[in-house]
Amino acid sequence: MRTWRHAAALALSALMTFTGCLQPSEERALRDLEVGIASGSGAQVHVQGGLAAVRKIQDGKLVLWAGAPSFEVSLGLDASAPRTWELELHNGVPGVELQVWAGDAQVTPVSASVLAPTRTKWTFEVDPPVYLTLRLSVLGQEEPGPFSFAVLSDVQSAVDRVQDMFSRMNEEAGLAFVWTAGDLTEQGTAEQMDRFQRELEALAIPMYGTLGNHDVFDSPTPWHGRFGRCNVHFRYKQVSFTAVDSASGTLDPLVYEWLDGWLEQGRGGTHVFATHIPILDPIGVRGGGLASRNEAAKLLTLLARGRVDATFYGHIHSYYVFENAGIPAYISGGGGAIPERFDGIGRHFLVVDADAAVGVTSVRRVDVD
Amino acid sequence: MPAFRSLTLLLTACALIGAPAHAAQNTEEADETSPPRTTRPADASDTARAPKALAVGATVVPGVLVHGAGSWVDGDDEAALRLLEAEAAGLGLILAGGVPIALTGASRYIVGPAAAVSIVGFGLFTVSWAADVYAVTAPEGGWGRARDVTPWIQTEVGYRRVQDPRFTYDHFLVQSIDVRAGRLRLVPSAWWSADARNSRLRVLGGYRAFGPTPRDVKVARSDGTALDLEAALTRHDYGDDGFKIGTFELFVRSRTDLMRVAKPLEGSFFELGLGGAVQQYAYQVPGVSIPSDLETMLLARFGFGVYVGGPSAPDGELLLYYDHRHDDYAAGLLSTVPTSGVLGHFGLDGRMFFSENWGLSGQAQVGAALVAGLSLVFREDP
Repeated sequence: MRTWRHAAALALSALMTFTGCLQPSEERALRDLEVGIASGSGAQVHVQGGLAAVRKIQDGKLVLWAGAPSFEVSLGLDASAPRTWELELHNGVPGVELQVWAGDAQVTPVSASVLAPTRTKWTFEVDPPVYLTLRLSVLGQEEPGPFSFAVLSDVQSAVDRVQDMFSRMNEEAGLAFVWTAGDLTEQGTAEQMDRFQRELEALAIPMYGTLGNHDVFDSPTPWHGRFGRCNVHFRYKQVSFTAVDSASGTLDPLVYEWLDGWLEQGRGGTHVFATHIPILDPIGVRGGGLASRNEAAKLLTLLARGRVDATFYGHIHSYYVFENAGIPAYISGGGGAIPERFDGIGRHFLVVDADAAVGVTSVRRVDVD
Repeated sequence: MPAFRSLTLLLTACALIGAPAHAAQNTEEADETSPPRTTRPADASDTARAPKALAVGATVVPGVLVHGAGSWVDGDDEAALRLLEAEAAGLGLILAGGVPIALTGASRYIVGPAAAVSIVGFGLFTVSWAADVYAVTAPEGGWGRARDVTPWIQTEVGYRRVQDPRFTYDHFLVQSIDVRAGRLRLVPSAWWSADARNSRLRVLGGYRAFGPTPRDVKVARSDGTALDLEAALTRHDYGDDGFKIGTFELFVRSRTDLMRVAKPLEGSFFELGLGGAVQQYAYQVPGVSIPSDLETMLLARFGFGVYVGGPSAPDGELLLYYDHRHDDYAAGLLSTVPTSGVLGHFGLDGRMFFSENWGLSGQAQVGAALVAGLSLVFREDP
């Protein structure tokens, strides 16, 4: 009987241990809620929707890493805050403009300087205490119309060669931004993410999207402090973009709640979806999809109900075009990580043409090697 | 088809590893009066063997790396050698499958058979260690033995709790009827959710190519070793979530009583199975006709089990296993490591009959969900 009791206790302990693993990405989802919220030097900043990471707020300097082409920032300054403020935006869309509002009155920035194609700095003066709204947007981005974006995922250990990709992207005319399904680093360390962001300085357009399983080796992942949210939704030229965190082979229940809202917001318009791990691997015996095929079917049903126009994935280092639940699906893991052999496909990225009124009109693979 | 042929060949090879030629002789000849097959005389073993605690410790250090170390310290050189051979075979298969996967970036052309080879390798590797632990901890003859008669019908009804934060269901009524006629087997089963529109209906048909059947009269020496060929249809209806998954699968399942490998392993067994499935995903979206998706799936399973009691009631068995399925309630294992979701789930199944007809079965699985529950089981012998 003692043996049986020991066995039962062991089994119960094992079960309790695993209970904590039913939501492996919960911590990342919860940390999404903290993105864009910070305080310092008599100032409190809140980026609406968490669409930018606050890299620094100190002594009248606010540094943001954009997670979307446009967003609003609430900036509350108490009496002790500096009068002169400097906003430095990294990973911004070229041509991004800043509007500063104090209530109904617009504050004119003293100066704006473009430090790099995706890095701009503004200086403005205010009279604290004051509550400011900072609006960052690009002229015409609210207007529907055709535009293009690139898709790039799975750079991982090929970061030393990523400049080839960026050079080729810079040659593509009219790209608005890069949409990534993650695995930008090999092991997700802070150093590797910093290195990737330094490499991004050579890219003439910003990069938005989500992370991959290689970006979560470190726990907690440094992603939030550097890139912002792991689960992102924004609109650009009336097209909805949604990227969700599947780096652990599942979506957290909290993400499903967000997704319901994002799909509802995007219903009736063009909607582009990205996540790192393909919902269903087209090579089923490989099992490179979500951990649960039931969850995969649930997610695909949600996307079909939300009338999503295209899904983009990474994780598999090749290029696949297929359909799931009637939605065109693209796996593009061509960033340079160890490639799938015998498929004749090397490093590549995608150029996607979209139009809010028409949908995703074309997807073109650009080979770099 | 070449892939399926490879799987079949692999399974056959593993069965051969688990049941070598001289093992049958061992089984048939090793009755209660036969001495254990050790390299030392039986009369000297009690005094020559190291203390049991040392053998148990040896299963950990260096036994985790050198399987069979516990048996060797316990004085059973033959069992130690067989377990070391199984470990080596397992490592070889892990490499034989894993290296091509790594080198080809999980190429679509080889990943199915290569993954199957790797899983079989992991099965041999882990079971050879578990068997070593068993050999030095179980009493002589084990905790039980296979039953000496196979029931023609076995039916159960029970409850399962499924904890999956991504779905609304929690409570299930489970039913199954397992009917055998000679070598043939038919098993309809169902899981009905009590708190959601969700059900999983399944019909399995099987053919026992080798092993005990209800036609066998009570055998003198019970042996659960068997090889089954199975085909199954599953209809999984997620009414609340708006989709259905239909699955057709073929599966080859083997059980090897490990007394065929070495005497100290008497009362334990090794299960191994391989197969493949085709799935149809049907989506229900109001106002829109959505085409179904077709998917394939690798099926693989291995486990280490022990008999309890027997050969007549009270009798039962306990099986700890890995199942590569990603489509049942437990599905693939989630964890905080970056390979989360790649593995299937782990489970512990137990069954105990307190009379010739009535018993209880229990199940616990850990994957993307936690599954646990109990069933009341009835069986009838021929």
